[in-house]
Amino acid sequence: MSDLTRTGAEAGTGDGRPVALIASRVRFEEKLLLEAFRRRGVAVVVIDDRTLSYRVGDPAPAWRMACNRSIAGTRRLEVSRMCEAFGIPVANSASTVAVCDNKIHSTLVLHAAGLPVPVTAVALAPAAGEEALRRVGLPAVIKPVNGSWGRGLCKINDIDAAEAVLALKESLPSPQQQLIYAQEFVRTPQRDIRVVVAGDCAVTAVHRTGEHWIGNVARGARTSRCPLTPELEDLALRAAKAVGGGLLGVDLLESDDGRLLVNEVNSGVEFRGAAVGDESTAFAIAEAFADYVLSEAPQGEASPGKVTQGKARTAGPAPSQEGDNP
Amino acid sequence: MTLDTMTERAACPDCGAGVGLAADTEVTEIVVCTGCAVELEVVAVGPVTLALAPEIEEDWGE
Ligand SMILES: Nc1ncnc2c1ncn2[C@@H]1O[C@H](COP(=O)(O)OP(=O)(O)OP(=O)(O)O)[C@@H](O)[C@H]1O
Ligand SMILES: [Mg+2]
Ligand SMILES: [Zn+2]
Repeated sequence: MSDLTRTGAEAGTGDGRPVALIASRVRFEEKLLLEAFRRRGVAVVVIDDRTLSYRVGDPAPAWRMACNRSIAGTRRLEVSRMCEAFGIPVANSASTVAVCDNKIHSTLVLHAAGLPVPVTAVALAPAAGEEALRRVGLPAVIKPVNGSWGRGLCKINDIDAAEAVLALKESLPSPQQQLIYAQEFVRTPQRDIRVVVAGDCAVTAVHRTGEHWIGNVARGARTSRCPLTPELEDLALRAAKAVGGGLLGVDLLESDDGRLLVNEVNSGVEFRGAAVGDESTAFAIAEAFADYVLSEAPQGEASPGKVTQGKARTAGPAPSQEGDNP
Repeated sequence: MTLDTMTERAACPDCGAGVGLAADTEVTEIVVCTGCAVELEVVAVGPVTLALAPEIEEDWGE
């Protein structure tokens, strides 16, 4: 049988249906989330996103709600779409995931909501790339439209570098990679700010300081606590709302000319970095995320975190999962 | 030894070394082989089975 039956009977709450934690990998973050759900007496079933398949129109799987922790952008969107089609509350929503995972879309949405963003230009093909770079000025940064972990970011200092990068873009196979997303190079104190948001609460803020201008934790940046000022909180909450809300990582850049800019919003937040030297921060994030997911419970169900004696049941067909024990 | 710290051992598919795992190990968790440092994915629990972890793909990330 599927995982659903195997782990659905661990603990009981509400109507007994478990919360689905859908993930590609159980990382540090997923471990903390599992613990947070279990501390609330909630049954959780871990679903490997690579094993999901469903028939359109079938009855919904017996999940009370879903926490989408897929690490792969393509599957992350499909997981939320699938849950929404089945009427299962899911964090984050498909529309939030879609906006966050496309840098053009997110910048447009953030700007439209009146948020300060770096000067950004888009070209629909490498042939128009030099024009886009002229619009933002040099030095500039070119980013893949759906990249993450700082991969594929190019700093363009002069016209020679521009020509080389645009020629390389031209040679890439996928049409997505032909899109040019260009930004002014924002001079920062070699760090950025990550504000973690859960619903309408800014949970915490950290500085990420790197040796390199690309300050991603995935690239070895160090994190340190950043005071969550009212200005940061306000910007982060407005940015989160602009992309559709949910469980989000809002990344901000402090420009040396005094601007505080929203760089992007991430829908698959990692918070291992927030735990370095301070386990309690990562713990608090997991708690806030679990509370947010449970607060999305449909009306009329037992309140989140309320432990009942009843044994969890699983009912109804689930989307089938390849193999016995993925 | 408490339940929390109890470990299980499983063989690395690459070098055969016995890799120690925490009792609360979950399917899809990634562990590093103590013998050859390769990344391994937990593909089953009870008993634990390890396989080479998939390569990071282009659309992975936050
Ligand atoms: N316009 C810019 N000017 C200066 N530095 C930048 C700019 N854009 C990004 N950076 C630096 O590069 C890092 C990664 O950028 P960005 O977040 O846009 O890429 P990403 O691949 O989506 O990363 P992630 O999703 O992991 O946050 C930022 O944290 C920041 O340090
Ligand atoms: Mg990103
Ligand atoms: Zn090994």
